[in-house]
Amino acid sequence: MKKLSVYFLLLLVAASSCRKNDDHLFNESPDQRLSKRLSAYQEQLSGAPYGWKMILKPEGGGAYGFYLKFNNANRVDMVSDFDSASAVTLKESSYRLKALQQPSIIFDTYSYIHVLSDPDGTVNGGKDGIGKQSDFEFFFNDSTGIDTIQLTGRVNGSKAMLVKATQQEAEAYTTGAFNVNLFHNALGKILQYFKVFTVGGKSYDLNFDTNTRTIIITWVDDQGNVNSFTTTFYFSLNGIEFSQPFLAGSTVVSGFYNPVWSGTTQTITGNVGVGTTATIKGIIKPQVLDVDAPHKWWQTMVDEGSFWYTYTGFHVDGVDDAYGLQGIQNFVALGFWPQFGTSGGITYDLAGYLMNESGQLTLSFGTAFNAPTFTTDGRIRFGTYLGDLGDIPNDAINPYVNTAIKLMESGGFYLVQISDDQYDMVNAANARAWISWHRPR
Amino acid sequence: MKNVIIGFLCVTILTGLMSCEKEKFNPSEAEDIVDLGGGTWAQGNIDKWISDSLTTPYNISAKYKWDAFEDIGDISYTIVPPKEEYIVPILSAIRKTWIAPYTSMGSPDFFNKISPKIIYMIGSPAYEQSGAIKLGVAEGGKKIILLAINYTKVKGMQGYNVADSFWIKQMFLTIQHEFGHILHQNILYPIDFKNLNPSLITSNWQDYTDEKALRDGFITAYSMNTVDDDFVEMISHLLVNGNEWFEQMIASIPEGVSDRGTTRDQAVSRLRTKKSIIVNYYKQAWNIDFAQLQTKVRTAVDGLLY
Repeated sequence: MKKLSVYFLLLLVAASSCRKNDDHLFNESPDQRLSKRLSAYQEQLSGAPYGWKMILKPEGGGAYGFYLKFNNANRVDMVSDFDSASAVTLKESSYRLKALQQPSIIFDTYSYIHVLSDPDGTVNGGKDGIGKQSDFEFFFNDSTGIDTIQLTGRVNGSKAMLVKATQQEAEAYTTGAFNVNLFHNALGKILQYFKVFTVGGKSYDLNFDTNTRTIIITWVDDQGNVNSFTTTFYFSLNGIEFSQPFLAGSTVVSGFYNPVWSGTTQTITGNVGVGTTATIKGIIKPQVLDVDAPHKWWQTMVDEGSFWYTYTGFHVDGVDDAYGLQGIQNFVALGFWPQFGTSGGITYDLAGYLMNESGQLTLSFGTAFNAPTFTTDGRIRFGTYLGDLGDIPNDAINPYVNTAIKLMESGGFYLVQISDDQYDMVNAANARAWISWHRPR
Repeated sequence: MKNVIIGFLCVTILTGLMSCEKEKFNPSEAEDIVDLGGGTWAQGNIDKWISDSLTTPYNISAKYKWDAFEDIGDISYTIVPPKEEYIVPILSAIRKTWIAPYTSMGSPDFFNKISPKIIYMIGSPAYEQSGAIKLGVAEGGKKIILLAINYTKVKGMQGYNVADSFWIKQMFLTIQHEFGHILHQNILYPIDFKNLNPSLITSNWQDYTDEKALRDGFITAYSMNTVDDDFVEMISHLLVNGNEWFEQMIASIPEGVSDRGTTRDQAVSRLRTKKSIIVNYYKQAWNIDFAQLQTKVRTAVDGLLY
C-alpha cells in the first residue's frame, strides 16, 4: 500500500514536471506583434501624404471637425472647427503611439483636441471640472481600415474617426481656407429664432444649438403625427456635415453646403447632397410647438425651489447680450425665480441679478413680477411689474430696465425645450428676441 | 542501508524529474519589449533646453508630455497636458527664482543633492468636488507636480498683463513651499517653532480665511494645517512676497481679540518669532543668509512680473 502511494507520487511528479518551450500561439511574441502593430499604425498615420480629416465626438455631446498632418518624429499639425481662429491657425503639437493595453495614440501636449477636454468650462463651454468630457488618449479600434482609422477615447470613451484627406483638401486646410464662418455668417443673417428648412418641396422646423453642436428637425407627417430628428453637426470645407444623415422624403440630407444668403428673399440657399438644393428661412412661429413647455419650464423651478439662469440675457436682432448685462461691474448671471416670495399677499416671480460680491455669489437686486399667465397656444405672459428688490447700481440701470421691459412684452414668450437643463425662451411678437435659460449645476 | 539507498535513489529521480531545462536568456528578445524603460520620442528644442538647463547642471528632469500613469493623488481628475509655448518660459522662471538664488548662496552640491528630481507639468488646474482648484502637489521630496501651466504667463510672453501674475506667483510659492519641506525633512527646525501655537493647528484650515488666520498669527490659512506647513508657508511667502509685504501684513492685523482668543500683540509677536526662527535656522542648518536669499528671490520675481 505504502509502495503504491510512492509510485503514485512519482507518477504525479513526473506528470507535473514541466516542459518549457517558447512556442507562441502565434508566430511571434506578444511584444513583437505589438510593436509591429504600432509601427504599422505609425506608418499609416505619417505615411498619408495629405494627412487626415478627423471627426471627434466627445462623450459629453456634439461633434467637431479637424484636419491633422502627422510626421514620423512625433509631431502633428492641426486645425479644428472649434472656432474661426482655430480653423485657420495651423498649430503644431506632439503625439506618440504607445502600448496601453492596446495600441494607442496619445496627443501628449496641448492641441485643439485638448480644448474639448479642458476642465475649465470657460475654455469650451462645458462644465467646470470636466469640460466637454472628451479624450486625448485613444485606442485604435479593430475595425480600422486602410483609408479610415477608428479611435475610442481611453478615459471618457469619446469616438473619433480619421479619413485620409485629398491633396485639394490638405491645401485648403493648411492655407487658412477653412472658414467656419461661411455657415455662421449666413445663419446670422436670419434674425428669427425659429427657422424653416425646405427640401424636396417639404418644410421642416429647424433648431440649431451651436454650443452643443446639435440640430433638431421637427415636422408633421401626412398622418398628422409630429416627428422629430436630432443629430450633431460639425464643419467641413464647404458647410456643415450632419453626423447622422436626415432622410427628407426620398432625399438624403448629409449636411448643408455652399450656403448663399439672399437679402431680397431673406433666404439661405445651399445644397444638401449631390445636386439637391434646399433653403433655410426665418419664421415667427414654427409648425410644431410644445404648448405645455412654458408651464413646464416655470413649474420645474417652483417644484425644485431653484431658478433658471443666463450669463448673457436677451439676444435681440442678431446681437448676443443685447442689453449689455456683462458690462455691469461684478455681474455674474441673470436668474429667474418663479414664486420667489410673497409681498402684501401677492406671490411674485423674480428676475434677479447674481453678482460677485467679494468672491461671494450674491443675489443683489431684481425685478418682481405678478404671477404669469399661460395661454392655450403655448405662451407665457409674465405678470405686471410689482417692484424692485435691493439697490440697483448706477451702471446696471439701463440693462436692468431694458430687460424688465422686454420681459413684460404683452405678446409673451414661447418656450423651446432643448434638454432637461436648457430651455430657449423666444418672444412671440417677432421671434427676434430670446434667452437661453440654463439649470444651475 | 538498503532503505537509505532506495531513499536516495527516489530523491534523485524526483529531483531529476522536477528539474527542467531552463531557457537561456536571449538579450535580443528583451529589446523587443515595447516601451521598456519608458516612452520615447524624437527629441525637440524643449527637450534639449531641459537637458542643457536643468538636467545636466542641477540633476532635475522636467516632464511636460502627458503620461497616463502619472498620478496626482486621484485619477478621477480631468486634467490636460500643458501648452508647449509655456514650458521653457516657466521652467526658466523657476530656474531664476528658485534654483539660481539657492545655488548662488550654498554650494551647488548641497542643492543638487536635495533638490526634487522631477518636475511634472500639467496644463490645467485640478478641480476638486468642493469647487476649489489644486495648483501643486509634492511627493516626498522627489517630485513636484505643477498644475495650471496654461494660465501661468510670465513677462514677455504674448498677451501678458500684470493681472496674470497671480498664477506665476502661485507657482513660485508652491515651489518654495515644497522645497521648504525638503529642507526641514533633512534638518529639522528647532523645537521652539513647534511650541509657538500648537492648539491653533487644525486640519479644518479651509474653514478659515487668510485674514482670520493672520489674526491668529498665521501667514496664510493653509499654515494652520500642520506645524510643518506653518514653517514652509512662512518661508515661501517671505521669499516670494518679501519683507515689505510681510510688514504690511503685520500692520493690517486689527486691534481686538480673534475668534480663537488671540490678541493683536500675540499675533504680531508670533509672526515675528516665526520669522526670526527661520532666519536662524537657515544660518545654522544650511549656512545661508536668509535676508540675502530673500533679496535675490525678490529681485528675480519682480523682474519676471513687472
